[in-house]
Amino acid sequence: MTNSEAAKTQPIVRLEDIYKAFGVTEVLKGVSLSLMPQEVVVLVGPSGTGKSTLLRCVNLLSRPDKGRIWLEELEITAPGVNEDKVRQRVGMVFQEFNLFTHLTALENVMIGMTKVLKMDKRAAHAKALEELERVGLANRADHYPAQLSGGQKQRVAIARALGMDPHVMLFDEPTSALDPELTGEVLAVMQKLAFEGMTMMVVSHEMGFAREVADRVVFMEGGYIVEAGPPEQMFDHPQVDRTRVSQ
Amino acid sequence: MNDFLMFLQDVIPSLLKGTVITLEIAGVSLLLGVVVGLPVGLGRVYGPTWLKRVLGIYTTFFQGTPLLIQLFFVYYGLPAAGITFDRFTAAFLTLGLNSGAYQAEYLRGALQSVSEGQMTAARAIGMSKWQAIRAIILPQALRLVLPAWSNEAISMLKYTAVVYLIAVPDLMGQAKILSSKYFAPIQIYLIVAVFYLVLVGITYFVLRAVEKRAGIPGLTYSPEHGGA
Amino acid sequence: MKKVSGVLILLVVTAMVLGACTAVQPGAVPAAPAATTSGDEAVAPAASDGQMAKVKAAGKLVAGTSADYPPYESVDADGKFVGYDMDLIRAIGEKLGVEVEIQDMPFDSLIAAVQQGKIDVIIAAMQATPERDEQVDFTIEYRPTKDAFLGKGDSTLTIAKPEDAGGKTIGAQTGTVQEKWIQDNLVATGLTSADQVSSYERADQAALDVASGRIELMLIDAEPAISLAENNGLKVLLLTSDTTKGGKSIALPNGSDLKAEIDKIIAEFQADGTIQKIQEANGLP
Repeated sequence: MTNSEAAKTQPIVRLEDIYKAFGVTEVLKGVSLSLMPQEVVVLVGPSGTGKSTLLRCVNLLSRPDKGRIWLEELEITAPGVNEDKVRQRVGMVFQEFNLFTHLTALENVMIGMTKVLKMDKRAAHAKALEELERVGLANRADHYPAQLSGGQKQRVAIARALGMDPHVMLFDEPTSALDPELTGEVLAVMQKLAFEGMTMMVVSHEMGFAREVADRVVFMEGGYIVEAGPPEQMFDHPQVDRTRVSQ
Repeated sequence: MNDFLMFLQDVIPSLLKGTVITLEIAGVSLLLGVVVGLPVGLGRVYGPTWLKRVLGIYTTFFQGTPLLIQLFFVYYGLPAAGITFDRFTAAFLTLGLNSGAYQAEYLRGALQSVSEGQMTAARAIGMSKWQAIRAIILPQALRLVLPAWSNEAISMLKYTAVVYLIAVPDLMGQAKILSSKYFAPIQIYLIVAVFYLVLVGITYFVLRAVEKRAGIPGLTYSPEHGGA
Repeated sequence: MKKVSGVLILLVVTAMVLGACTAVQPGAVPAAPAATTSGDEAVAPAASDGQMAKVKAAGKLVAGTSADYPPYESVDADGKFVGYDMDLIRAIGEKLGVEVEIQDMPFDSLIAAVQQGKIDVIIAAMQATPERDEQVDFTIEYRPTKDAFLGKGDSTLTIAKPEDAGGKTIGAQTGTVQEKWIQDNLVATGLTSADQVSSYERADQAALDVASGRIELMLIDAEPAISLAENNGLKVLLLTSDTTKGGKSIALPNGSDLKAEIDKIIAEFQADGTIQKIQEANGLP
């Protein structure tokens, strides 16, 4: 890392030489990457190059075949680590929102707090409302997912992840399933989060967002990281020679 | 007409007695069916391979053979193996296990129709697999399976008619006894048909009300109805 | 919409029930023993006046039976109807100069079938009870009857007279005179409670329940009782004629002119030893 302040603090996420194959298809071929506290990293690159898989490795929805991952001080790829405990500390937002269909917006945000964190109902209710407020949807608390627009659904999904007080947030193409006119409200919420200091790892094709919000842009292709750097460098002075960037 | 009213007066008390027994058998069997069908349905979807196989044999057996044969086997066949159930136990067991097999298969379909993303999202907020099934998948699947289970309840009311074959005096059994007593099978069976129709009608409306109450926009009906 | 159609269905079916009942001959429906005093004449349908002519014209006598009652009637391994009644009705057909077609159906639907003309006669080891006699005509008896009380092979019950069966769990076939005797003489008198009595679709099912110990006794016509007892390891506890009235007869539609003809043939058969031969051929004493 070039940032001297970040260098002396511990990374939130550290991925070391990650390999992953689905059947005979090698998706990740030795990827290493670290995220410092409050850092926003945007993963870009052609589809099918392993960006989403890399993201899913961070909360162990996908298990790497080889390589090690640390979440703060804990090596989560070590045997005997409780995956559920790991995931409580990592928020994730999906392309398809995946809101719980049978629960209202408020209940979607509450359920993790009551079932996983064992918070009491009343406290969870208050906190869930706060989170909905944070994404600007307190007035939609009693709506079921089907009664919300795509952008609203994704904002509720963000609130749901935030409700768990995650140490890092993963966004897997959060605006790809949205009509273009609805992406703005979601990106605005993400930008606000970044501004508030949330550590974020984002897979996105939104170059405008990457340029404005990212601390670092990582370009992936063919299962490798081919280039990484601050957005200005990546967008304005891309390296001609796309080689594997060591961290 | 007067004759007919007198005739009704004669037969109704027996038919009401039969109705109580029919309801008892249908009710207990359905309940047993839920108690069996729920874990079997879950096991068929989320269990280990060996369990899926064993449960598959159970559902195939009960779905693949006539109910009558199952009932005869349990009632008349098992005593040869030293297991003698009384009539009601035999009826409850056979109909309950039969219904359990159907309910399990309906539930399996409902569980599988809940999208994969629901499980992924539940796991992503730190739920264990069973927590996710209990809090997220099952509440949705149960709402989705409700119409099929309602049909099962209605079918069950009629399936119970086989128990007269093991001398249980249910509505059908009473009909048999009365029709040979009065030599008027057609009239008796038509009256009994009305009895069944009323039972089925009441069940239908009650279950529709339950379905409506449990309904959720986007899951059990399109969101336009609920209004956004 | 749904509600309306539900109500409609109910109305239609109710109308069907009422319609069906009024369409039946008077007396056929409320046939409770005390209700009708007039007897046969009241229920003579015109259709059976020329039954003899009809049967002769068709060249075929359709006889209904319930083929679950060996040695009177049963189905052998080749699917043929065999037994005492079957031999007798075929012999009668021969005398009449017509073919005999056997139709198998549940015992309790036989009377309705003969009333509706679906079958010409019933030959099913049927006894001529007063109640049945109101619904159909009976020929003279072709065989006197006895009943048997059967118990489990190791039963220790002593049944010296029919009333000794009181208070015991007991079964009989639905619609038989034995079932009626139980209702009239054990249940109505309070010797046996109603829920101690079981009505079975088939006699062999009652026998299975005796064998498994679910019921203590069954009451059945004596002859099928012997083979049932053998097949199921049951014991004959009592043979009696006290529970039966009237022997076995062939039933015809009320007022049928075929009755006189068949009566004559049966009398002939009794005189010339044909009946004797048939019963020996079927292992009956």
